[in-house]
Amino acid sequence: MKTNQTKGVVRLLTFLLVLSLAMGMAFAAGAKEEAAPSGPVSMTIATWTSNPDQIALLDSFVQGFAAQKGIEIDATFESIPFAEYNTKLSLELQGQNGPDLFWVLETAAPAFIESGLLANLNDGMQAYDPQDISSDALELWSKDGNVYAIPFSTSPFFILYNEDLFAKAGVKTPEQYAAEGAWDWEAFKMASKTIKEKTGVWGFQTVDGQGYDARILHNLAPIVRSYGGDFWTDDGQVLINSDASVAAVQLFHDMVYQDVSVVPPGNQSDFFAGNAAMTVGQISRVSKLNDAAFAWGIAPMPSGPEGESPVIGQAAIGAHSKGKQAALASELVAYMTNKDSVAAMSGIWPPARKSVLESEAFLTSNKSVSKEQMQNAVAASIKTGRVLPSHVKYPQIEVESKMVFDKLWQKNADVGAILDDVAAVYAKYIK
Amino acid sequence: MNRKYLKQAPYALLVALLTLLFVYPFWWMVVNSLNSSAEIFGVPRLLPTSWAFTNYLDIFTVQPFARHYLNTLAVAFVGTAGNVLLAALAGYAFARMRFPLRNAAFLLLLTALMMPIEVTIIPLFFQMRGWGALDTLIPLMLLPIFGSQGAFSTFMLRQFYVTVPNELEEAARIDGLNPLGIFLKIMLPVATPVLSSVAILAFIAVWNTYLEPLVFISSLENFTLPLSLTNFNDTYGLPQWHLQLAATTLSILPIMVVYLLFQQKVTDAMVNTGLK
Amino acid sequence: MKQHSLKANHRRDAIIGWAFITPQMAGFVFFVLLPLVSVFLYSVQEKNLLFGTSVFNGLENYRLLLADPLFSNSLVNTLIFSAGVVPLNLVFSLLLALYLGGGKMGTRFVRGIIFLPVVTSGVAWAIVWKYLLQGGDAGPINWFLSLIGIEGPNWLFEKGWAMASVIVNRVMKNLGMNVLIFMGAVLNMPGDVIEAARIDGAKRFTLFFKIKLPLLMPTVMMVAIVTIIGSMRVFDTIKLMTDGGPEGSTMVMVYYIYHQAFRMFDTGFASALAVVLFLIVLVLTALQWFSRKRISFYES
Repeated sequence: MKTNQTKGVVRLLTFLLVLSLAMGMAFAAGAKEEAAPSGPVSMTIATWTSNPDQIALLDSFVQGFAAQKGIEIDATFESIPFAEYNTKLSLELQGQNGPDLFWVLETAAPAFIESGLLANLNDGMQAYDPQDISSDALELWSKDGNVYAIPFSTSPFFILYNEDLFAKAGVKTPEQYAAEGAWDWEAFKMASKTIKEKTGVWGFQTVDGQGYDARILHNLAPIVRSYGGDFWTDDGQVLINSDASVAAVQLFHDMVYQDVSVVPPGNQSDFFAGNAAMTVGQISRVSKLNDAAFAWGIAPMPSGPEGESPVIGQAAIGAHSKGKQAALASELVAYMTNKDSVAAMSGIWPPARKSVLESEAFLTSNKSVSKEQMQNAVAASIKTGRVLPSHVKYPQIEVESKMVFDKLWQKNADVGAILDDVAAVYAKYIK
Repeated sequence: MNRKYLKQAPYALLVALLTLLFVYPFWWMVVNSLNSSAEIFGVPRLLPTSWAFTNYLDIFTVQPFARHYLNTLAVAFVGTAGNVLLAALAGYAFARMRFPLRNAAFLLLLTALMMPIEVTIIPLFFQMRGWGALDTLIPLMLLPIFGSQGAFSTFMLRQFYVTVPNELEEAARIDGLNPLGIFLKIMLPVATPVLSSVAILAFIAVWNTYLEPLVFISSLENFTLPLSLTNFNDTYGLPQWHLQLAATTLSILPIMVVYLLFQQKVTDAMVNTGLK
Repeated sequence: MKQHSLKANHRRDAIIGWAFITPQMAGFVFFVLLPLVSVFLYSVQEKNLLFGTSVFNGLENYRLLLADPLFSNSLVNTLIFSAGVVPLNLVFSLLLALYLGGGKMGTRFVRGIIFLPVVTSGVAWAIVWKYLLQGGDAGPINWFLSLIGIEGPNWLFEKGWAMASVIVNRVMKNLGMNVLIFMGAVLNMPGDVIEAARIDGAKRFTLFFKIKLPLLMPTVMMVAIVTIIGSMRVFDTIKLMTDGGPEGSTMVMVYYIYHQAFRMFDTGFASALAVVLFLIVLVLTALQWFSRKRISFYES
């Protein structure tokens, strides 16, 4: 009895040991296999989209590039969630298996350029017609005359609305308001409030539901800027506590806490599921509405006392300077942002190329969006819109200012005083 | 008769309250894993509205969930086996052998016992990079063997081996067994209850590990379950609630079934070892 | 002759002993000791994860740390969190252990269910509770509260409530483990002593405070220290439920380390934070050893 038990335990343990050794070796062997290049060149491309259609489109560029070069490329697309993007990406770039190409967020641009992780793209850029890409668009992605990433998307944010809910509440739609020239923040606020009162459904959901945290700047910028305020400027002025900024933020705060018409922090009610009447989106979001159970429309952002100030979300693609195939990756970046590729993407990611933007094809590039909507809410906004402010120390600014911004999200918040505190945080880093 | 029931009433109430607190979250999770995304919010219901079993198929197409499952099993298995084996070896030696620097080595090892991994995660990241072990499962397997969980198991086993009577060893020695033989044939079997509770604790710890994979793993195919669960996002990084809940259910279920089957054994092992 | 063989025996013992502990000790050196030394070295460097720089800069990180309001904030939050988790956990697990050890109604069932969160991964547990704790009338918890006429707060997005939520989440997650440990101790209590006291006419409270608690004290102390240290390592709960917010009110030390290192990329500064955390844990561990000695002294 006893010895049998003993034998059993010994056998089990031997088995476990052998198995763990075998597994360890298998993994070690697996790791080695990966290191040996053979056959097609493998390339990893990091993005924050995981939409299969969008990935397929990007992959078609890679294959087009490979055909042109006469090589085989095996592309792996890595989707990192937006809120984690910079953290994950920087860990990977500092690790040994970082992506060869990656998207860069506008707010992270200066830090990534400063880090030296982005390859210099000047050579690849030579094939470009310099007149076609506006120098404005490249400004954020260049340093000392060198280009480090190329924007593939210059996409304005606009209002997406649920037509059914507007009809149910008997409110004029944003497009109707816009046609009358009366689509301002007051009208927006009233529409939201009326819908909540009449239908019980939230009037407005902030951009991607992240307007209180990861996308706070995206959320507040259109209001703040159209009131004549701003966060900070390139020449180092902090404007977030200016009278105009405070008035704008107060308007949004009133919507959340007085009218109670905005999906509040932490609530998961979603525009795309029909649980909010309006939200802010970009053209790339429209595909999420393909199966929507309601009629919808898009309209430009409301205007304020200082006119319209749409926010443009810029995203660029760059090559990893320390990657194994940095040179090839740089060429691929140039290929992916050439005129043909950009035209193919324009229905999802509006380009920074004048020739594409001004083309008839662009206005009809997204089959879910009418030509007028594309003209009013997208093309026109690209001209008047601005990107978010950026800074080398943006990661610090973001984390530290968020703690102060959080104070806004309660009923009795003193908006002016809180924005003074935010300004103090900004001032620490921006000189 | 009535008084007897009345006396039981507070206990019944307590049991009911505890059940609500500890069972309802799981119930809610399972119910809503069978709902569509839009049905999750609103008045909670006792049963799913749409019985969307497709959620459970979708999680395998949205990301390589089966692969993540296998990764986690591999990590938990190797981590637990290595942890228990090495801890038993060291715990036995610390308890019953005489060798120079024994106490010093033991004391040193105890510093690992209480050390949060968060203290050393930054150097570990650079160290793993140096070894080329980033984005592999290897650090996830080795850390539970040698980190605080390893020290904990060693400590527990040492405490146990101190209490084992000398006669057992003496008899074996007279039988002509060498030290390794004594360990394998006598000392491991007598420690079975402690080994099993130490193994259970180690397994739970490895299964729960979140920070280490978060920092060390980048490729989707090397994810472990905790990373996988937080990665059910749509195109713009918004959680796909129904899928996340279905995946969460699947990640919990097997462990829960094993636990419920062996509940008595598991808890008895814990109670009886008397983690002191 | 005899001297010689004794020496040889000693050498043999030394070799065998070290052969047994070498695997564990070697791993310890590489996975604990080396990183620990490195973290001290990093903490005196200007080290940036994104830029890939490492330059010696003396005690600059520590100087910045002392001036950093977020550091003191995280220290205070850690303290609040531990001060919430530890007593709640100890009191409830002790009471439950006494109840379950008493063999009352439904003990096996209760023992089973309170251990469920222990075997559930922290990530899964946090995910589910994030849904349950939604504000307004969207979350099930608030729906239950509305049944008894209470308008629940926006749990994870209001200062105070957010901390309370993560504390309760954490207590429930780990309660089962401590209950089992205490049960072991309760079942090992000498029955004759308690019986004698009962015959002497001791009331329930006297029985508990004068007899049972002192008997359980060594276990209580051990569990307390382990729970305190465990509460200082809370990461997944915070990351997934509150992300350190609102207003940084749940930004505890380990999460601040993660933030500084991997969101702000300042690994040097984060290492200085890690050194502080290490010292705190070291002091607590030392306290535990000290208290163990004292208690066993009382016992004997």
